[in-house]
Amino acid sequence: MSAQEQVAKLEALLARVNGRRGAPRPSAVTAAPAEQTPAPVERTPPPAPVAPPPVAAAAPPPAAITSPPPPVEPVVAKAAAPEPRTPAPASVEVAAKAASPSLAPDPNVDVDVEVEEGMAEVDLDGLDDEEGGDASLSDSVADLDVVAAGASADDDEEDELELPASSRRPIQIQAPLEESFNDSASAAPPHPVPPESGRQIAAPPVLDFEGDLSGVRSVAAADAAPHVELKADVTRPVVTTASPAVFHGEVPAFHPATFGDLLDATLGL
Amino acid sequence: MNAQSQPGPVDFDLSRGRVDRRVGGETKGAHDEQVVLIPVSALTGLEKLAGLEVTKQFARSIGVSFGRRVAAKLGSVDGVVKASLEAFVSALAAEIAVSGWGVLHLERWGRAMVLVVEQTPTLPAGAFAALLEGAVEAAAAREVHGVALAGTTGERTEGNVSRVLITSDKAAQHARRWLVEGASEAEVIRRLHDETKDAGGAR
Repeated sequence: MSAQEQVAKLEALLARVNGRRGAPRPSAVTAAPAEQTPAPVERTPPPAPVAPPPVAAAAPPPAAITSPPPPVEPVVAKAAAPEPRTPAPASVEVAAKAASPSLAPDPNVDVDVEVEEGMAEVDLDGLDDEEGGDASLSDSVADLDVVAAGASADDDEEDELELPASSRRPIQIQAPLEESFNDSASAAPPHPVPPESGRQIAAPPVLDFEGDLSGVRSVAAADAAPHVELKADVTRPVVTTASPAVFHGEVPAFHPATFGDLLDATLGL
Repeated sequence: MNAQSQPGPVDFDLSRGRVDRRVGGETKGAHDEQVVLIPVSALTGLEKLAGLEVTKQFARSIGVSFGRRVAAKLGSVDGVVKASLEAFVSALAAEIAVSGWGVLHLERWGRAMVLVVEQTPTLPAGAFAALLEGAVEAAAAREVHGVALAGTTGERTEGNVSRVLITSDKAAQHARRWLVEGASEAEVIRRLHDETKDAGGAR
């Protein structure tokens, strides 16, 4: 490829980039690309593109996720503020007021980081107060509202689709092919940051097996059931009063009063 | 123990070498009788030397001495006849026991009288029947015949029990014949009662 061809290709690419810059973003991300905010906001190096798992590629996305969530762009303040994490994947809201690129890191900057379950907010109030009167700084302040995949859906839909605890962390759906070549899209991590180490996930909902349709009854309920007493139905014979035996005569009684009577009797045999 | 069951003392006079059987109390009386102690084996030897009939007569003579003492104890022969069954049996049993011949009791099978002696020594066949025959005959002064129903043939039975039927001469002959034919004790007594009915002697 010649030098002219390379120059022409680069100009076409530049025009394309400029055209895209002016065009409105289709997603809910309303903040300007992070690359437009110069130096003080430092990006973490984008992770290496991870190939989508074969299962996700082959199978359709789960029905619970209706729209592919936009990538979450982590905003890191270079000032002494700690790096905010987005542990909860359900809804991530990052509100950052970044300083202009000309601002140097100031140790007096008050960085307020609030991390709640499902929400991470970085408030750089110190920077805003320090440079509040600077017009150039106010122009460069940008408000970023990044709503993650779960957060992009409204609250009603989220209530309806209550996922099990084991799948609270949403899986990043493969981005469209065009966004894969986009720098802003490729910079997003494929998956949200896993929960902090040692942090317990929410307990699964208690399943009720004691419904009427389950057929399971407690022992007390079984005991409370009325007992059916069995009684024997006795059939007795009719006893007749007639005697089955007939006796005739009398038993010869011999009661000797003396030894002589017995001796006479035994000698009379 | 009543008076009839008192056998009377056996007087061992060692200075004179004499043994006496007394009927009454401590003092000597007219019915005292000098006795000797002989082993039972002497009777078995006598049967071998003199035969069964001599042995039976010897045993019968021993029984006669028992009957005389019974009559003396009960007062007289008339006293024996008029005595109750218990009194007679007690007096005779005392004499048999003190002499070492066993324990006697009486059984009445209808009209038949059977004398039963337990724990008897082994005697030749018919010897014990002859002994009881002589005892009853001497006590009542009547001619009686003893028929050995069981245990008097020289064979030891369970508990050494001798059963002797006391009857008349005619009935004794029939009974011995039926026993030889194999009739049982109860069958012999039943037949004796049947023959008495047929002869019109039933009371």
